[in-house]
Amino acid sequence: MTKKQHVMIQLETIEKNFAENQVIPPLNLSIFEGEFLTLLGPSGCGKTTLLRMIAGLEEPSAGNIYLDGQQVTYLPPYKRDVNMIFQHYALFPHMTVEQNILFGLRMKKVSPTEREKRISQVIALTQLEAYRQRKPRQLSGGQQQRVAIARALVNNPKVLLLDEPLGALDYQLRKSLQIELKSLQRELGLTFIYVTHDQEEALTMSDRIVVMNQGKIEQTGTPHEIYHTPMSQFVAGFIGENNFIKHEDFYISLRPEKINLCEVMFQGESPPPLTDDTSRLTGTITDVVFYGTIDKVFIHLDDSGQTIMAYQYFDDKRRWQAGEKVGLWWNLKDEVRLDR
Amino acid sequence: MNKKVLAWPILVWLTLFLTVPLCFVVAVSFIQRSAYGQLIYRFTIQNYLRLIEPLYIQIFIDTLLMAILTTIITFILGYPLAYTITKMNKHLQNIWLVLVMIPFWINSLIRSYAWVIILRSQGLINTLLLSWGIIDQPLALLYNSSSVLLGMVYTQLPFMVLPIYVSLEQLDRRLLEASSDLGATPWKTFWHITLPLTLPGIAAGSILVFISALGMFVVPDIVGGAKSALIGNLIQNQFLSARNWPFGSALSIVLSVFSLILILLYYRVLKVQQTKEVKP
Ligand SMILES: Nc1ncnc2c1ncn2[C@@H]1O[C@H](COP(=O)(O)OP(=O)(O)OP(=O)(O)O)[C@@H](O)[C@H]1O
Ligand SMILES: [Mg+2]
Repeated sequence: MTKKQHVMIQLETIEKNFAENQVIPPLNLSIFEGEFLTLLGPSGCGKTTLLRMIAGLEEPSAGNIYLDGQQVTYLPPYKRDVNMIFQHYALFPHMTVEQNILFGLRMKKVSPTEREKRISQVIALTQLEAYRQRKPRQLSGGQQQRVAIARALVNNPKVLLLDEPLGALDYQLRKSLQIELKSLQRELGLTFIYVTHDQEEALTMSDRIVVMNQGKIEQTGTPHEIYHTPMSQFVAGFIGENNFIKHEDFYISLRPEKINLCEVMFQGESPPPLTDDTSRLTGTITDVVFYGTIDKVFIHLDDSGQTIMAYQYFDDKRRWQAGEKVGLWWNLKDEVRLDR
Repeated sequence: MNKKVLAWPILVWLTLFLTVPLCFVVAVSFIQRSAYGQLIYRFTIQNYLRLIEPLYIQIFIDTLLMAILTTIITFILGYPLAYTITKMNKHLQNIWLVLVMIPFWINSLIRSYAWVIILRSQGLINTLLLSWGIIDQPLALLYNSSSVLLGMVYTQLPFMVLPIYVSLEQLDRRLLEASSDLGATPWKTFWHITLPLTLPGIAAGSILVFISALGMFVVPDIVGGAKSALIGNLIQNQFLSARNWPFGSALSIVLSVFSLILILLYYRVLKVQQTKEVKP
């Protein structure tokens, strides 16, 4: 991220109301060339609406959209150099795979030789060679997904919009397509705006994540920033697992993997911090739940009465049981102070 | 089990009111009649041979042409109408669908006479044109093949509009968005996506219109006058005025078989389309 980045899409106080209902309050966002940007947020927070406005399928109620420096706010979709991959693929059922992929090029009157060149490229890329002449309904979900990707990619759009493209697939297929999509994006240097409500997907694939809540941007940052330095309770709670410890007028968030469990030294009395940069508490274990490589240990804190969750790993020597007294400590630098 | 029980009344109904009368018609088409119209129960195929006479061949061709024209015109009028209706809000859609269907609920005799009132020489159109001084002689709007065509198109339009409306309604809007997203102008989206995907509706509407236009007799009789000779009128004449039931039956059978073949062809095409898309 050293070189000065070219802004590919700029949203300027963009706003959307459906009738009386404000779905997106005024919002600003810049998306850079070659970036994998993910819109992450709970269902109904306006991710699809935002994407559709960029694609031109929905008109913003106010504000401006710039694509590569050019104002496109009221340009119809067919005049915008962006392509969308729809959540349910929206493949044309009466056309073969090949015709589906060629559709965009035919509409833009690309010459037949150029068409042939480009379709061979994307078909090789998406490994659809064997299915060229099939109709969409003769394909599995994963294959249809690839056709949708190929149909959008073949146009060399400036920006590719992906609306939960893997949402309908099973876990294994998701994983492998995630890797394929990510490497595609990196190899071709494309700008991706990717919508998902799967936080793991967002963390592993993105260069930058925009966390949305009720149409507003809660936080924008790299996956690392979003995970380790959340700026609001919403972000801290939405991504990964978190503990919130209430103080007078603010909260401390603390990831369960940062908490270390130890024996209690003085029964009934909370021991003092070991050093200046650690914090230490005691509690009683209420429950230990098995999660494969980890167990989640739920602890009732002695002093505040709050419940905190920590991990114990499958190779930990000391196995904690419900009902036991336990001490916990963590580094102060792992605490995140949240003012909202 | 349950389905079988439910099917019984329908079977009884079909047997009583369709199969039995049809058997009578088939039987009558193979017997002779006396000079005064009484049936003589002696086998003959004369009734069918008579159909090859040039007079009847001509009537058959005229009927076909009229039915084809009716189908084409109802399509040209019906598709845009159905398309416009699907673009309206739900409330307006319902109003328009009722408007389209109103002719269904009015006796076809009354509807035909309404056209007579509009088209005859002292009718609505001629009176208006005369009073505005656009013409000085009443136009012969009634009792020719154009007026028959007009009447047919008018009665058949709902049969075209409704199936097309249904297939347009079922069309996945996301496909239209995808098409637009891929660079297709609205017109190209219509041509490459909407039209091909509503072909089943068009086919269903066309078959319905075509077959009922083939057998129609009330409209041509009233709006076309005494001269109009389509198969429907011919059959009606054989039964009512000429009292030649055997020949009338033979005509009916030929018309029915012809219609049946068309319907079978339609299903065949539908099926071929579907099997083509089954996983290999
Ligand atoms: N055409 C519309 N008319 C009225 N309200 C709409 C329309 N489209 C979306 N909304 C509303 O806007 C809000 C945001 O919808 P949107 O589809 O953008 O959510 P989303 O973040 O994509 O959710 P999901 O993750 O479930 O897909 C929702 O409350 C929805 O009800
Ligand atoms: Mg959505």
